[in-house]
Amino acid sequence: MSVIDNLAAAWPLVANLESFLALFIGIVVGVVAGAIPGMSATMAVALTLPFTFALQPITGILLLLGVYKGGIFGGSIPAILIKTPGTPASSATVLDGYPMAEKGEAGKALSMALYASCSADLMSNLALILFAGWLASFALSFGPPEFFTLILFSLTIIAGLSGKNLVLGLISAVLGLLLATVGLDLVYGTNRFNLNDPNLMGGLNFIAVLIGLFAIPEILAYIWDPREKKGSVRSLGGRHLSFAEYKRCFKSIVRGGFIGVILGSIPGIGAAPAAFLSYSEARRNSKNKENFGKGEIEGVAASEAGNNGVCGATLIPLLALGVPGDVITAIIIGALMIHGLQPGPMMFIANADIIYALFLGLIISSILLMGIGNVAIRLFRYIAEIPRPVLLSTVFILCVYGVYAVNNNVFDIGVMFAMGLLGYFMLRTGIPPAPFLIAFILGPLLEDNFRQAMLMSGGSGTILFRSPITWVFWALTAITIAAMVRRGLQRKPL
Amino acid sequence: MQHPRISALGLVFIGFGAFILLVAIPYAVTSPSNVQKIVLAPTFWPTIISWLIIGLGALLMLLQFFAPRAAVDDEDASEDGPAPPGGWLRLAAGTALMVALVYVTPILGLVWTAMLCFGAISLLVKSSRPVMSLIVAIVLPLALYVFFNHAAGVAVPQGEFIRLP
Repeated sequence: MSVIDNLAAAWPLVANLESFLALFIGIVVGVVAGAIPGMSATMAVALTLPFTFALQPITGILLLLGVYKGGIFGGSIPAILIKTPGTPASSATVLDGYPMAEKGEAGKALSMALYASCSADLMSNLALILFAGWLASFALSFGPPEFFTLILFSLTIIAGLSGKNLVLGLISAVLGLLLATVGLDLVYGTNRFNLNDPNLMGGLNFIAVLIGLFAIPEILAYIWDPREKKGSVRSLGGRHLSFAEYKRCFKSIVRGGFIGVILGSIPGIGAAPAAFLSYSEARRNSKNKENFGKGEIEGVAASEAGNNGVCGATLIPLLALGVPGDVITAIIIGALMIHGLQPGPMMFIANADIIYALFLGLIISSILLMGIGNVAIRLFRYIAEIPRPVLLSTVFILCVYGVYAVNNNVFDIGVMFAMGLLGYFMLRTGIPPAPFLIAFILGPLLEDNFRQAMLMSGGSGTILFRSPITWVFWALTAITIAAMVRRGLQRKPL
Repeated sequence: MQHPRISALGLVFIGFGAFILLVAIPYAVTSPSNVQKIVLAPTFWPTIISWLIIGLGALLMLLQFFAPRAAVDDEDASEDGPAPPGGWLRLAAGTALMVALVYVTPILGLVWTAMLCFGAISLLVKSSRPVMSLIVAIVLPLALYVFFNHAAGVAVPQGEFIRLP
């Protein structure tokens, strides 16, 4: 079937009230959560996940994608109005957004952030539609050795690029791999670290680990130091964005969108580097480069285009290869699996209608974001007023209910708290949690593919070098490690 | 050494890896006697991971040991500031609260336990809006109970005392 045929077959799955409502609610939740400093798009997607269990797979996933998209844009609102990025991806937006707010042009900066976000988002979605199917058809020829080398490469790049210390990132990933071994052995069915406890036979619950790592540490950090650190909210100002201004920035938006698409499709890089690269490229090529950092609207456009260009593109490796590129796509892979869907090349054959329905939903979400974003900009003052003690206590209770709802098991709540304490330890010691979670998800796949390859070859390691595809992934892994070691040596010479 | 805390962390990981290798794997990983290839044994993967933890812990220590003083950056600045007043006490209380929640839920039920926990956290962080906290503490667990129990079909634990419809 061609792309057009697939889209036509998927249209009825999206063109209904339930799907539109899921996208709408998702974007509202995402924008609000992203706009609250201390919350993040990741936390919002994680907390929304348990609410999707009762929904149809497509509706549930659209809800999560709405939260994801809304959350990334929502982060730019406090970045511009109170100089506090709601999400790390919005850090580059502060550079010119806040100076614009100081000049009384916050409304204009926010409108540009919204339109640049939606434009880049649309580009990213089109890239997803064009490339995911192609990549999946290529990946159909992958066997266990190819998948093993692909996952190894993905884990290496994710571990190396998360956090400031390469070794701590690698340790985080290795600890995630260790945790993933808990449960019954994949081949022999014997015990591995499960202490004969039936609760541990199937391994640790992914959602308990996820919420424990990403939500509980924030609550503990607030309990540790509950002093308020809120900045003053700037007014929107009377000046609005004109079409001429949007047109002037269009080149930077398109460039930023492309940067986002390219970096987003590589696992592990994420939205923040894309935003900064897009910003620096816009500054390099701009006629007004001396105004950058002092309130240049093109700077806001470029950084928002960069970080939103990543959104659709991160789904390319997720859907085509089954490899999540960041924490949010890791949550989405978990959601797909909970709903009985296994992302990867086979999903394009077995569940093509769902895949293309997601693509259509993503395009619709860009349009919805435009309207919801405009309202959120005006309501931010009220969102910023939510007291943090009430907010974080609410998050705590949502975590408890959400994790319990997965398996109707109080044991999972205990796992979440244990992971929360581990996450807090990681927060305090500078160990990035993202490689841990992604390794925890990819660990069983990595081991499974390794052991299948070994079964195929009778235990010979040469099978891991059997084809040009494996050579490419080995070479990419080696290049990644070399580049990261070089970067580490430049920062901290021996 | 430039970052004693990171070096100590390296030591912790070496110790942890050694513990997994020498104690946890022999005690808690069962391998059938008929496994012919070592790479297929259930112990193989955990063993490789343990060695990786030990190796990376050693690398962490080594890099810190050779790092010149001028190269100190802010990577472990997260703990450099002084602890806020009562920080450790609140953290201990928060941890105790989490442990208590797990054990009290089967007795009191999730809804009532959640209400108490909400209140306890608000007290712990000295919420400036006690009335709002109280209202949310009551309404939120009940609303979630209604959603999960009646809409999502999740059997929310009811406890031994007061049962909800």
